[in-house]
Amino acid sequence: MAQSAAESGDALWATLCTHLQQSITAQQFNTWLRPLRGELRGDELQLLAPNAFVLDWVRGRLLTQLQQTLADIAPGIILTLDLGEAAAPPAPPSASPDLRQNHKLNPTFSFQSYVEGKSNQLAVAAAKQVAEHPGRSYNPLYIYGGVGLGKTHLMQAVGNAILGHNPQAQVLYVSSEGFIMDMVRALQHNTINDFKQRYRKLDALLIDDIQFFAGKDRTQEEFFHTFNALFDGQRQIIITCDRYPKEVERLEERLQSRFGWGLTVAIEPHDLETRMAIVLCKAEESGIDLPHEVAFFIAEKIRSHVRELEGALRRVIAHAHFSHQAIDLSTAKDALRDLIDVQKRMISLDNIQKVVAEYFHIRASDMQSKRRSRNIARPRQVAMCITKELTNHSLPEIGEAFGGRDHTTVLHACRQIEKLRREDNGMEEDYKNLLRILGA
Amino acid sequence: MNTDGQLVLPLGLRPQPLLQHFSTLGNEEAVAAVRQMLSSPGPRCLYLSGPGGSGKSHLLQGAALAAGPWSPYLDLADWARHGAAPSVQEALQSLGSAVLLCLDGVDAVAGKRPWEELLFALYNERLQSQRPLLIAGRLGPRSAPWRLADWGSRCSACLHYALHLPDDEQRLAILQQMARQRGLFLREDAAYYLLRHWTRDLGQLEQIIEQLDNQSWARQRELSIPFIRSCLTAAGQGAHLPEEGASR
Repeated sequence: MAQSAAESGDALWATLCTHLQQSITAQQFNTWLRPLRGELRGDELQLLAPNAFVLDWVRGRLLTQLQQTLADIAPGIILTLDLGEAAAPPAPPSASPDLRQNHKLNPTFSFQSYVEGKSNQLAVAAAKQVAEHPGRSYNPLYIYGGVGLGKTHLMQAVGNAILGHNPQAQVLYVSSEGFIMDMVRALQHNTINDFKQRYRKLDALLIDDIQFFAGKDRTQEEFFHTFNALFDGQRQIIITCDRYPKEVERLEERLQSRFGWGLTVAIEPHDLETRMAIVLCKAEESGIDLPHEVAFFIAEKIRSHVRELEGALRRVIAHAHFSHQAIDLSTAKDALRDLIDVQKRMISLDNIQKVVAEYFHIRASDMQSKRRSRNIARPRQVAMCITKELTNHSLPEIGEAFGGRDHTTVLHACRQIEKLRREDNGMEEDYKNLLRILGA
Repeated sequence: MNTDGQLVLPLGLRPQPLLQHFSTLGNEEAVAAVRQMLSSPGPRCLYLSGPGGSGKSHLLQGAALAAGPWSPYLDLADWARHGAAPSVQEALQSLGSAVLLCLDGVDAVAGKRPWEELLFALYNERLQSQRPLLIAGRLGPRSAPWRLADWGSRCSACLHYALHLPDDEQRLAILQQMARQRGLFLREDAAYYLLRHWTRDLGQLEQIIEQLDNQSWARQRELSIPFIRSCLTAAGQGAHLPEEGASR
């Protein structure tokens, strides 16, 4: 019986693979060549990639090598590369809760597991109110704040509570990226009406990190209509963002104004007590009975946000697990030694100058130079201000370290930067980024 | 390669960067965490940092090989060198289905917003689909100069280990192991000679061993110090060495 194109192609492809494995690395082979299928059509070996991503990569980096090797083992056969049918992705592990249900909510994000503190109490109160009366209390509910402060958790807690009250409710949690991808896919497949239908019949739409809509005009246009349809139908909309609506750059004014129609609540950075409570709560979720002194130690050392607290807690738990020790203060200190060392090292005068210089793409020596052009002077002022905030150096010491400047120059720099941070979002963002990079 | 002796066919042993070949000394916990990631339930996101030659790439490649198809290993530094960031949608459609996703050199794209947005989207997708993500960079999650705070904060949520560089005793053992994996016998004095007179960078040493392997076959000689010296000198001092800081 004659072999099919696929069978004979597979055989030739397998032979080609055996030869290629001698000349390319195992990880390249596994990543890029293993997913390909071969079909032989006359004197043409057609290789089919499972998706455009693999296709582009192989075409760009490996095609010449594939063609040369094929010419060696099967002269006269031409090699082509094309897009084939995508292979079905393997199923995710089933042990944990399924996050891929239609609403895409994480069932562990509930009000019970959300730690309330001074920093978020208004937001929690508003969220509970919305969960009780979706579409009628505050619509939209706009939650904003820095990264890792629990916006997504709170938003999903509302979604889970709505479903708890009414399991038939049509709730959807989607990241901005997810919304964009859904829309692009609908446009590609000419199913934009289905997309509109799907979003506009929801009882509650929870859309995360709306700042990623910035500059995406088509997405904003579509979201504007979705928003109006839901709002007019008294369906709940919850939005999270990293900043106040009016401060989101490249976001249409009509969207900015609509986001302010309901209630806008902020989540502020957490205080020590709240951070400690969060660490204890996260430990409990992992089935760990964490001593309070360890929770205090972590909360005191990690001041930035919840994700960093989680990272530190994970490290402590893993260290205790791998070293077969109980979790106590000594284990925690041992586990976080690297992290704390880095923090100490990062917050030195020299390093602040280096990090700020790198961030603004200037030379570290410019920090001490006499040059006063704006592109040099501004980063220098930022570095002075950060040094004052994060170290115990006196103003004369700081001035001395920045090219022998007077302490009044340092004071002026700090005032100037504080003013700019209030007036210019870009400066505020740069400043926060630098504090984060420095581990403060 | 020009050799005066026997013709070398491309049939030699090409050692793969397997997890079991990784010298764990000083990095036991990090290696245990990588192994645990391959079993369920393991950490969902693991971030390894450390200087060039500390074994990040070896661990990531070893994990990718151990996790089975389709577990891509991608070097972001290399990827970014070759062009712009792919569209998030394109990358998610493809990489989203990976059993394990290994992203090396992530800090090489720190400060490049389209790349950070891509990493951010990949992280979220992995988390939501409950598939593991293994990332590595020279700088740690808190030290890399990320511009996208959302991505930076997610990095810091990962279980993080800083890998330590091997000392010279460990380098010696690793070097001899590299040779053994190619079926070569590298005496201790010859290994010391390489470390003292040529390079201590394990990535570069691996390439030297490959070069010596070919020469040894072609000229039917064992790896003695005079033979090594003659091979490497003939190749031109320094000319055989790859760029400074090539990873292991």
